[in-house]
Amino acid sequence: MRKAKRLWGLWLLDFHSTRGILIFGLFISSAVFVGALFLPAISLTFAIIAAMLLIPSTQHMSFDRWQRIQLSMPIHRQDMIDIRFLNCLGTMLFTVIVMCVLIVLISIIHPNPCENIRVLKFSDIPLVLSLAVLPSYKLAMDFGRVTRYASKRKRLAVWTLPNLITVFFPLIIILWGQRLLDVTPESIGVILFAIALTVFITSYAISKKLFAKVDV
Amino acid sequence: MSMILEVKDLCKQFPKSEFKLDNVSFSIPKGSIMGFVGENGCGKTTTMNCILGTIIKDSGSVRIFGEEMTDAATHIRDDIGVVFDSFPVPVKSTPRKLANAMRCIFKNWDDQLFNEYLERFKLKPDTGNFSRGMSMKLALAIALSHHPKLLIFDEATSGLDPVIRDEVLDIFLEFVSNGENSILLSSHITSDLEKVADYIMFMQEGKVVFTEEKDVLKYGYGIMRLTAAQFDALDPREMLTYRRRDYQTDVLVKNRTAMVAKYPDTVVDLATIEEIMLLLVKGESL
Repeated sequence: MRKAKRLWGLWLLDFHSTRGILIFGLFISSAVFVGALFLPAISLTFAIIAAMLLIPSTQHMSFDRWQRIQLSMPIHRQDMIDIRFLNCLGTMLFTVIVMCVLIVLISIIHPNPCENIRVLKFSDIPLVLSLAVLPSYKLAMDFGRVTRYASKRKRLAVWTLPNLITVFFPLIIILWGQRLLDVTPESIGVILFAIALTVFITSYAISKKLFAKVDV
Repeated sequence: MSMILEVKDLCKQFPKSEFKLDNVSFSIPKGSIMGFVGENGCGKTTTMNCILGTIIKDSGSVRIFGEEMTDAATHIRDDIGVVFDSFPVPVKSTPRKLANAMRCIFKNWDDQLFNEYLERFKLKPDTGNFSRGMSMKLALAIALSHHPKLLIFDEATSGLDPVIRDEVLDIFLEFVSNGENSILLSSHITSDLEKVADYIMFMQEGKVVFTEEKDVLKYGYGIMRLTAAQFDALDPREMLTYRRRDYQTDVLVKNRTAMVAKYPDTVVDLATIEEIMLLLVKGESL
């Protein structure tokens, strides 16, 4: 009970420090995302990249400032990793949920806003979810400077790989948008979601292990 | 004498850096204030971070309240109040909102005490957007409001105006007056340390140069103001360090009274902490 209360307090501190940024990021990325629905597929990619990069990057800056203060409080280092992962994931999921609501609303108001682009359906939820999972993983890896003093091999594992995925992920979306891939959007979504989830779980385990030895 | 904090042979080296903490050892008795001085980058903050565990030490031991400080020892951190050199209060946060979080984190959080400190520091519970000085005051209020037994302050009084600093120093003295609580206080404002510290620890390039009672430093140490001839006549074993100036040489000596008796024709002034620090950093040794 005591531990749960402490974690709640820690979450509140994180929330206070990132709330403003979250609302700003949410507004911008939602606006871009909605705008993209009326434009060719390339804009959709831009919207996704914006959402992926904007919120985690700014949120990360706020987290970093609090880290040392939080670590001097009566909590375990491992608890911080848990809270940060939940926070990152929660933020992105929240963003994506808002976007989905907007998409649904647009679909109702204007079922076919543009001939060049297919309006997202509910069957695209895995794809949208994977958008949420990947950046939160990237953010969580940045957090705690887990790669700062890691060996080259570890750096490759915990930094290069997710960044490459982050780069290739939108590329796949472009290909999908341009209908170059001979697969259904639904199956791409499921595949990407599975990849993202695997990466997320692996990164959680790695960062838990690494953060135990990191200087803050 | 019962110790509240004991640091023994603390070592820390950073990759790709020449700096290291080199066998840092000191202890703080209950009911006392230890002033921690040294140049920027000498290792004060690193030492404090190693004590708190935010930086992981390479070797050595840190015992607080008689127990080894580890990541698992959250109950020890419950009894420590910490203020770092900055407290980045989020723009929209208010003391009341932060108190809501702190109430969950600290076992002994005391809302009434927190409100008293807010009043003392003239902070409004529902106002945000703090200046640096105000955010430092808020950090102090938070550090003091969970009934800690040990306070660790890293440049906590910097950025505060003289009136509030004086108030804070009074709070420090009140805090240790029960004989059970202690403070480790790093500060570049040496006049503050002269007012409140019982002990002074001086650190240089990652090593503890000395830990001494403040009164010994203030009334025991002395600075001889010597002419060139007087300087040449001085026994080199009696000087700790010296610094040549335009028309005189300042020599730091450990036993002022003995020097006055031995060299009655020389001027031997009382030394301030700042002067001692400057002579140790900038002075030369024979």
